[in-house]
Amino acid sequence: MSGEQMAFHEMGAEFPEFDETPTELVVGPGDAADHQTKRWFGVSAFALLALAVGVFTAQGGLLLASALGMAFSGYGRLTSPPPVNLAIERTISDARPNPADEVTVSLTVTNDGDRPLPDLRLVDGVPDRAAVTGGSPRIATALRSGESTTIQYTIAATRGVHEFEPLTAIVRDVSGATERIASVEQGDAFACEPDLPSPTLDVPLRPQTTQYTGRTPADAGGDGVEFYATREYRMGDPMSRIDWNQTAKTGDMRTVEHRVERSVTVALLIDARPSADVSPGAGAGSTLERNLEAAREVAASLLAEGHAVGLAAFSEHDCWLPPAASDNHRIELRETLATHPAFSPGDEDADVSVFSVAQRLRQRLPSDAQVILFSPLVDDFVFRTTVRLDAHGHRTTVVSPDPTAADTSGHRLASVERRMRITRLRRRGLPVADWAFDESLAHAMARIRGGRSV
Amino acid sequence: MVAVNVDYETFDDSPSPTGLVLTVVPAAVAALASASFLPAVAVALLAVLVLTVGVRNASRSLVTLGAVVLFGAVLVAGASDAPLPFVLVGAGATVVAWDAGTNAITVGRQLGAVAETRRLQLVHSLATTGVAAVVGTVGYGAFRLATGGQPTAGVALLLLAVLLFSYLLDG
Repeated sequence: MSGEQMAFHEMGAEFPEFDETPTELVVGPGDAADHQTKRWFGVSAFALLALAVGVFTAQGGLLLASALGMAFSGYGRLTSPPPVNLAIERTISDARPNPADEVTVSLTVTNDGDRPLPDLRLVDGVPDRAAVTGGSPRIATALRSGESTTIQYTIAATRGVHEFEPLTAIVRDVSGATERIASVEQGDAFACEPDLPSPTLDVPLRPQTTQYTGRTPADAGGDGVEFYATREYRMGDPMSRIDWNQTAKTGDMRTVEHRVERSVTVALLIDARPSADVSPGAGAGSTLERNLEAAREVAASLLAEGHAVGLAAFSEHDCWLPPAASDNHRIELRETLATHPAFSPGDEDADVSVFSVAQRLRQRLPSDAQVILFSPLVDDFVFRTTVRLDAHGHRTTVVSPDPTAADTSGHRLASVERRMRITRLRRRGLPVADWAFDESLAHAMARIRGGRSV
Repeated sequence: MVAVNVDYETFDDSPSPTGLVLTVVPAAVAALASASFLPAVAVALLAVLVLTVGVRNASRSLVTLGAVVLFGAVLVAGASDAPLPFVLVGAGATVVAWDAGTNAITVGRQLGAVAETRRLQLVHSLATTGVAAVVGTVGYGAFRLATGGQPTAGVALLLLAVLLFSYLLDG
């Protein structure tokens, strides 16, 4: 308990007879508990004051005023909350919204009991990570027997599965002296799965040599589209490939070789550790969401080019989707990126071993598979693991959302450390897209293509 | 790039305008009821102001202070020979104002200013006003019938007994 809260409680203790004791009961789902609000305790003081003045001045009217106060003191003691029997129905306008869509939630509460409820306060259990953007998920009302009321509010959908928390109902008797707090479990949920965007990104994969034809330029000549080199004619070269101009000029037969384009197996590796989910400030968005957004764009573009794309994550939950290129795989990839437990904000203290995740990834991946790491690079574990992955033959590209801010010297230090990690990675030949939060991913990726290393 | 910018609504826990009206109107009635004695009215109007500020700032202590001062003004008016029904109306209205004010603060803290709370506060204030009206009328009638020559001290002791009884009833 902080000092400020302590002070508040001590201050409250000075006027115990006038202060209604605040609601502090915590009730488990499906449970109810009663609680005395003591809100009429102060009235006795009014009554005694009137009694004293009445006796002193011998005014009968004041004694009557005192009786009034006493009646209220008794009023608070004699009423008790009616038995509560509520029927609750929640409707969600869209169970599968797109990101930034508004989801309208309607909550209808009916008093199914025989007696009227004079004082009913409801607080709907809005999902943990959802923000209410319109209306209020709370209502206070009075309901006759059989009567119902409806509240409507809107939630801005964000990625992931959102489960509603238990709803809290507080029923007071008509005087407000006793309140009954109940928690009602109503397991509704909605899931927001962002689509993979249309492929617009030019993903700079590392040069590669494998046997399958695809669209990534390999550093080898052969069948393809783009000119690569000419060489001496060898027996068996197709006629169409003979460079007739050169042959006519020199008399030697020359054959044109084209750059071979091959498909690549790529594993997207997402840094989903809670410790890496940092952000430069309110409104800049979480780094985990930016990692996932980048992964969606990269995956869409890679799949469109015919590459096999897999998925893994640094997380306490094991997340692994073997590389494939089918349409089914595309759907699976989208769902995994949206709803896998590895990508829901987890336990801050969870100990995630980056090394063992990387080791498992190495065992699962084909030996020539590339890795694209999405990480803010805020610590050395990820840095060292990346270097090691690359050294083991999994040529690695890093997309790094910049989470650093420059407002305090501590933040600036973290920013410098991160830039040094990036420089060290680049010096080892690993391309790094340093993605500022106000920049488009395509722009950050284009800087890798352009070969600018700083 | 899809940037999801969400305007988070911060939780506003101030009491609703309904609560303010339900506090100020009975408080003004109580002030009017003490109109037979001018200094009492002046103090009562000050108390109404304190109550208004108290509800607006969600300060329970200010609301209670305002109610105590208002009740004091009603008592002073009563002590200086105000008509009996006026004293009763003043005392009842003070309790109703205090009740509505503290209730508005609690409702604001529990549910916020945005939530629909009018019906609850109306029902609550109506119930309190009803109790005050019934007790006041019955008390007034009994007083008229029974005060034929009885000493005030006897009535006072009787009321004290009622108060103790109501405590014992609760255990």
